[in-house]
Amino acid sequence: MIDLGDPEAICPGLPPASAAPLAHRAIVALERHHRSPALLAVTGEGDATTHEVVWTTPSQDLGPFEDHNEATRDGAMGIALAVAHRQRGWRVIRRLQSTQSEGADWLFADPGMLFVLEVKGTDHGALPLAEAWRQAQASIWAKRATPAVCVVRFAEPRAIFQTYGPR
Amino acid sequence: MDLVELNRLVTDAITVAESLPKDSPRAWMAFREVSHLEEQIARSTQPGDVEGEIARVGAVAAALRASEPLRAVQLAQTFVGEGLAADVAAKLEAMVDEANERLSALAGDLTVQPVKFALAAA
Repeated sequence: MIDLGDPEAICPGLPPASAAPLAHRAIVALERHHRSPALLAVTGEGDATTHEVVWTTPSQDLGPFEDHNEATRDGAMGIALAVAHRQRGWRVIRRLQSTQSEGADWLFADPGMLFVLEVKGTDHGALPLAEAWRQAQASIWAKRATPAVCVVRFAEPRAIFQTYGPR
Repeated sequence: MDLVELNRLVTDAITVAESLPKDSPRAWMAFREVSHLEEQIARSTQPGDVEGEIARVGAVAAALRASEPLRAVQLAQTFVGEGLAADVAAKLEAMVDEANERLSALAGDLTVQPVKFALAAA
């Protein structure tokens, strides 16, 4: 289960001050289409799982107060971090700056390995998987840590999580 | 401060900075903080480590986004002198080119014009 009302449980290593806004924006993006609980379908390299996502519906519609694209982008990050931990057991090391690291938004540790994760989100458009992989593989960090991508669409909701590394 | 704590702080600082309107004064301040945290991480890591490379590129990138091109040039020159991998050094050198362009533009903008004024008695 992914409890967006408990940001500190999203992913180990993710500091609360960063977890809270990412969880909040995931709620804003999910609330455009769903009410809690929602089932998040996650597919990867030939596998498929679901995660129940729960949150407390805000007392007022937050959509008008949030930039649509930023809520989608940051909400997707919140979902991706939760999936990375629940499906792979990864732990956040740190966030990377967007302009510094085209193709790598987060650095993760798995025992004995490093991963760089590129995240993309969409509200109801096509999942930008090819674009995410193109950027991930072009990143200079992909030569030093195993590249991974997570793309999230809030309309269903669903996510695709893939990595070149061992599972 | 240890590396784990610095990584937490820079994650929070990036999350704040990336959420602010691009090229706004608040974003400049926020990226200034990011740049200083990245520099501290750079000092705590080896230039050949992944985290060390990320921090060195991050310190320079954030200085540019903080509208501090002179700091970006100075940091990049220091880091390149540490013997970074060729692709990381090339990325820093590209940022130096961008910073130098901004400095040249700034120098072109520096004009001094006389302003007439009169002091009024209090």
